[in-house]
Amino acid sequence: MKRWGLALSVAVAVFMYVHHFRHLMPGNQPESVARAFEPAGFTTSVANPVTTSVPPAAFPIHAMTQPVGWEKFRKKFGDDLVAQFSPEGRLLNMRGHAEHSAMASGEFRADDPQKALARARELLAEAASLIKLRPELPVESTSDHPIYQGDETSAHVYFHESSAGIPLAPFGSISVDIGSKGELTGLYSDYVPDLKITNERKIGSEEAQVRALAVSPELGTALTRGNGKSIVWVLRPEQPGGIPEGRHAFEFNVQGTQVIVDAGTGAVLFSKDRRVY
Amino acid sequence: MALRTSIFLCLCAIALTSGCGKKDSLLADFCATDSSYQPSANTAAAYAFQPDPMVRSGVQNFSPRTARYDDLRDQVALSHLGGNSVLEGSYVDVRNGLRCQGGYGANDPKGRFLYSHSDSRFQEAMTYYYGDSYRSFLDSLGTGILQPTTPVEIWAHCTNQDNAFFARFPDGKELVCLGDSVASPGSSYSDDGEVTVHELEHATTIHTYSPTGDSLGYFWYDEAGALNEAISDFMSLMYMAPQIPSAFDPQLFSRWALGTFRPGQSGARGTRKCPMYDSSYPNCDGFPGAFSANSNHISYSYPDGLGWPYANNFPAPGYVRAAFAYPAQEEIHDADIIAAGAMWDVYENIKSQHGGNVAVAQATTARLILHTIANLPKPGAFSGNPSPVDFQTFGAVMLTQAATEDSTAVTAALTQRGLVGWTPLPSAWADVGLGSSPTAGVKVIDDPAILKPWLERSGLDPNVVSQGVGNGRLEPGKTVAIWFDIKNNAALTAGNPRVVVQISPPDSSTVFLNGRYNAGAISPSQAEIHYGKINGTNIVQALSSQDMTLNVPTGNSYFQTDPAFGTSLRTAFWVQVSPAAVTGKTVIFHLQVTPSNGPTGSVDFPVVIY
Repeated sequence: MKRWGLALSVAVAVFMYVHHFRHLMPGNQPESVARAFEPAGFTTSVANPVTTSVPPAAFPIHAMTQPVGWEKFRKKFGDDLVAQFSPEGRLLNMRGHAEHSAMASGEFRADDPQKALARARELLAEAASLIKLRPELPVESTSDHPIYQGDETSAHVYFHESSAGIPLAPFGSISVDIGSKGELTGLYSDYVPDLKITNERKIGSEEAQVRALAVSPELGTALTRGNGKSIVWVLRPEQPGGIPEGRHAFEFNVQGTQVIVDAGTGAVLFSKDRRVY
Repeated sequence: MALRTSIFLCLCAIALTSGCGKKDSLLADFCATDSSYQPSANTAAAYAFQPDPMVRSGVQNFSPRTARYDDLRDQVALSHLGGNSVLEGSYVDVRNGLRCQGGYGANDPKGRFLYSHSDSRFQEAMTYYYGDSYRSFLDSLGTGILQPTTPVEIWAHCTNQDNAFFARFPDGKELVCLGDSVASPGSSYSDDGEVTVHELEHATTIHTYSPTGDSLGYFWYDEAGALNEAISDFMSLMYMAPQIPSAFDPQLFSRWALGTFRPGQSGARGTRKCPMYDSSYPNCDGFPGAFSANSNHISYSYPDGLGWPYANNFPAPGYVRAAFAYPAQEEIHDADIIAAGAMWDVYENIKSQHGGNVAVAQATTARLILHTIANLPKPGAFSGNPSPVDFQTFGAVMLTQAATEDSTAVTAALTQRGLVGWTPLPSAWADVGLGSSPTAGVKVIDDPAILKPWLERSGLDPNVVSQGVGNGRLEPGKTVAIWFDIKNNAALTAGNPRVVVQISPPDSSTVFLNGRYNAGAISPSQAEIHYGKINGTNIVQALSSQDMTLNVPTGNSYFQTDPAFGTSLRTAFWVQVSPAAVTGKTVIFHLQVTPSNGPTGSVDFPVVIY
């Protein structure tokens, strides 16, 4: 009886250890977070980014290869728009001055959320081919996006990419900055144009939470929040031109540490201290 | 019996691992229960320090170890309460962390939150007072200014730590955590109103910048993160300034909590133009160009003023020499001072522009700062720049947001601090520095006694380090931390250099670890990070002295700019060498280094696998 008790105890302990820390064992390291592309400005000639003037040129923005459609977009929305593209010609961001950008047609008010959203959608639709937006990876299908923020001076609209209604992370955001008259002053895309999801959801939020809680070191704090949010966690491809891998996952914040748990295997894919002191 | 004991132990282990089983028994008897919530008025009375015990006492060297706290309380009025007898209001929702496990402690249907300082509900009430006051000030600036629009949850007595922080959760909840001091037991970070405002401003800054995932600051150390801190320091100081009597410096942040809780070691920061150990403080003669080891001068101007600690914790006579050895010059709270100072100067100039009207200057400056934040470039971590914001970007965007009548005042302040109108570095400024013996050009830490604790403290697997001993070299089978001694041949200092490293050609036997270890992991052959600054030759000359008690032992390379660069993993690249790697082979680390104030420099660092 005593031996059985001890054996059971040991077995459970070993199971828990293996189950909880499988991701930490040799051969089970978290997937490498790699990306396909050189950092912008790395492989193409870069204009001297230094200036003593005001934006858009006051920080490094590099006009690289100019894909079809860019000149047309610029003529329509602002001759002084400066953009940055990936080496494959995918739009990463663009900035312009309100005074040189095209105003919205009709009555526009930056403090009117509906008008701002409509203008942002118009701009995004025009830029869709530059960003490489795809219908199967929409930026408006989740319940909490797009988000509007703004006042009478400017509007800011935030879109976010999803797959089958589940938001992508840590990438997938697109934000559009609009001036008081509807001018495009900034567009920033972290859109993932292609994705291969390689797992299925096999564990629930509660089981994933146990894995997440094991990651955060004890901080002597009462603050613990485990509230698994379903996401698709995107891993950059290790080779240029590869397709990014998506993993169904749960996102937690445990005592200020963001923890991503694979919904198929229970492995911890990522963790990062998100406390801002 | 033994079986029962074993099962019990197993269940306990499961319960502990799942975070259960520690709650109810620790709740204080005053914590709110379901029956506590009763209708109450939207206003109430409370005690608070205005804004901290030191200012209230009027004594400059007032100490938490001798404080008679209750004598220093003032009765204040609480507003915007939700009317359910607890400290849940329109702007903030204040809970008690350690005593009520995040539930409400203070509750009184009569609205009398009048507690002794030793009662943990005092800190809840004071936190509500400052949290509500500050966020209602932001809301008064105009529609759309206050972010987030929902109440921010604040936990007083959140943790037994000498610290406070803000965090955002996947469910959208945003939370401020105010710790209780360990160094000065009985004192709390909630006792310092400036700390509460600082942390709440993080909620506004981050939400204004991006209402979803992105924070302002990506790496442990980068100027975006330092800017985030600077905005919180400045907004807190500006908001509190009218409450600070003339005997105290309105430009000194957290004189109480950061200034006194750790005996003999002030962590206070500020917005003056020079540090407290400068021989001309607080006037800061010679700003913005005063840098001298002989005369103990430092100017908080960009980029040479980056990273110099603010408080005077250093021995005479060589204050600047001693401050140079400060081990955290790249840490974002120390790197924030130039930006916070620039914002203060903008505020002062706008105040002058408006005839000294404090209320107008506060509102104008706060609106300007928040509009600037909203219009900053956003990160593109997938294939762009994960940290595109630096101080000069902030300055440039601020100019676009300033009203015409304030434009001259804003430009003047930002120019003096070096955030606009700056001179760029020349091309070909970057070179290979001496490095750290025994590997030229780089420093390699491979000692498992150093690396494993670093990883453990970060919640990472220490077993990725499998070597038994260290000798400072790349060898087959090792996982190491590596830094690159980038040399700056220019006269000017390079600020906030973005360092992108590529193993060229890619070599499967030598790879960067993934994004859990390298925050800037790009691929197995590529990763990036930010260094704080790399001195140019001008500042090296200015800080030299014939007097060895004053001479600052610096130089024009990264290792000579921050001598403490290798004392933490914060700026390290994590590299793994395969056991099958060929000894004698040279790995080329190809660096693209882009400072905020100059063109990209390319440098190759060849490193031999021994």
